Amino acid sequence: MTLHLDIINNFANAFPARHTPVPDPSNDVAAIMGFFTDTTLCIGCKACEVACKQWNQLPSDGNNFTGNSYDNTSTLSATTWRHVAFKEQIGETSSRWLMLSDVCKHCEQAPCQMSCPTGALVYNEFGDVYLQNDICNGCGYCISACPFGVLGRSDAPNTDGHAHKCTLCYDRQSDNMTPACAKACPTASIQFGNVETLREKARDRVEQLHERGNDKAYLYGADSVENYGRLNAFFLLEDHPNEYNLPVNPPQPLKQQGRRYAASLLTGLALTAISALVFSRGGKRAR
Amino acid sequence: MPGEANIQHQSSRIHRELKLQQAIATSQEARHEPSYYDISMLKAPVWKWEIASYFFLGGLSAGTYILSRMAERFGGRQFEDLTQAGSAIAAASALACPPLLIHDLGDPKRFHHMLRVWKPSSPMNLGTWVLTAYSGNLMIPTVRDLLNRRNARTRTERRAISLLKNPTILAVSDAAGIPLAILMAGYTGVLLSSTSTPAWCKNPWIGPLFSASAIATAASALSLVLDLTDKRDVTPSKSALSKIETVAHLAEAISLVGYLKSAGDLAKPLTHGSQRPHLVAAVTSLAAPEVFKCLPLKGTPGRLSRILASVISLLGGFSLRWGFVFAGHESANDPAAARKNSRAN
Repeated sequence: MTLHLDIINNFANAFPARHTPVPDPSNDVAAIMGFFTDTTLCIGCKACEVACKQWNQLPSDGNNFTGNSYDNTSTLSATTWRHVAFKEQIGETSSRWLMLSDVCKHCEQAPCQMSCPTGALVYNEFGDVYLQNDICNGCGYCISACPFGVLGRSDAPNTDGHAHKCTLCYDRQSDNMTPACAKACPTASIQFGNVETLREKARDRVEQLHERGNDKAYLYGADSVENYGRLNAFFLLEDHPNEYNLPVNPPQPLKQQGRRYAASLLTGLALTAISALVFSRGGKRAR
Repeated sequence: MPGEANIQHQSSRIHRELKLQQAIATSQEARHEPSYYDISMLKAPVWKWEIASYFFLGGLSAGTYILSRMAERFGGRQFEDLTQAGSAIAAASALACPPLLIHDLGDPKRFHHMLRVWKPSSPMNLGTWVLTAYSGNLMIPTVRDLLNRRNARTRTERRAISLLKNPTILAVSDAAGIPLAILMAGYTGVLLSSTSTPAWCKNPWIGPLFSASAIATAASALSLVLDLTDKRDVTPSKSALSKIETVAHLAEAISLVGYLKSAGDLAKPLTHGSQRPHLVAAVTSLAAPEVFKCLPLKGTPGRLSRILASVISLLGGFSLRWGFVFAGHESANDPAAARKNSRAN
């Protein structure tokens, strides 16, 4: 009898909620965690790339020599979730190096999450875009949907054939630890924390840089651009976004599908109606 | 002699200097447009021949289903040949779709994973549900036609026929099946346009193009089957199909022009790149069958020309899907196209 009562008393625990509560960026921004990557502080040491590979047990990408400055990784991929870009700008009077540690942007309105047909890509309780590996079916839609070219699929022999990307160290965050890349960064170029606090910090940093005479510094992704929402992993840049291989104005292709469906369905409907007309007239003539 | 050698030496030196200056000029021009070592910021699609073939067969199946149902509902008995051929082609091509998708995914379990959620915001998820519902519904006319062709022997067969011939069941099946088939024909285009790949990104014409091509290839496939099985020059089915094919080709041509105009430079893989032969084939398949229809051929030459026209139209429809899928690969790998697409939005 007591046993039965226990079951009744603990009924809620017997059937836990199916969904983890996900913070909504429009009202619980305090719960959302993210990265602020300040490229003016980056020294190109690649500690973040190495820490990410080690913590997430990502395999090597081989020994490639690209000839593009010190960047032999080139892009983010299924096995590279932090990538340090080195851009050599050789001018007539002075030359400089732009360095940026690139990562998944954890978009507030992520095209990859919207496109995922299996629900493998979800927002977790930290407001970040997380790929559930056991559900991913390797269809590759997210790869084409992402306007930043972040996602990759592991297609090498003896790999799972799933898409992979930065988890914003979901496992470490769950234990109140800083993500591996931010922890390893020796210059605080990568800062981790509540995204609203980070945006404040970043705005102060831009002001500070402007006061010091670096009037080119600006934030990329801290605010929404036209139809693209904010990025939970945003950047401080000093040059044109394309110099860092970032899109100026990322497309949001999963929005306004309604219009495209309407155009396509109306064409189909019109041709169906015309065929019905042709058949009914042909039928009458024969009768 | 030494003078001549000197002139030759000098001219080759001037040539080399010119080359160098040109290279510097182009690199300086390139520097005007900011870029990261000309590496594309996008990843190429992973979809290959399976998906191109699925787009074609899915469209063909939906189109033949639509035509065969319309012929039966609005035409009547003289279109029975068309109705029967239509449900057979629709079933055969729909049957090939899941294996193609499973081969692309690599594991049957992975197809099932798409059906674990209902998520219409993802065209691929919606498409999987549409394919499943459409194929299930397709069983009703197909099984009915199969059973009709043989004499019902057992009691179960007789009961099945009377059930499938029940007008209410057929009406419900058509009411559900026609919208599903229209979605099936066009969602593939919407799927491509819902990506960041420059040649596809947000282009509103790919859906109408694929929808029109589905009806056109369906009319061609049905004409092909009827011309192969029936030697007569004019039958109600053949003349109806010829008219429908012309209208669908016209709609396809308009959508293709619309696509090329709205994509502009981003359609480069199709207009000037690796997929140009496929675009040429698709355009030829719109024009050639219509030219054949104008020829005053009768009897065997007429039949052969109609068969040839249908084959050209079908191959062109396949080339269209193939060209569009692989244009995406070239376009995503083109750094300039990726940059342009990320500015235009």
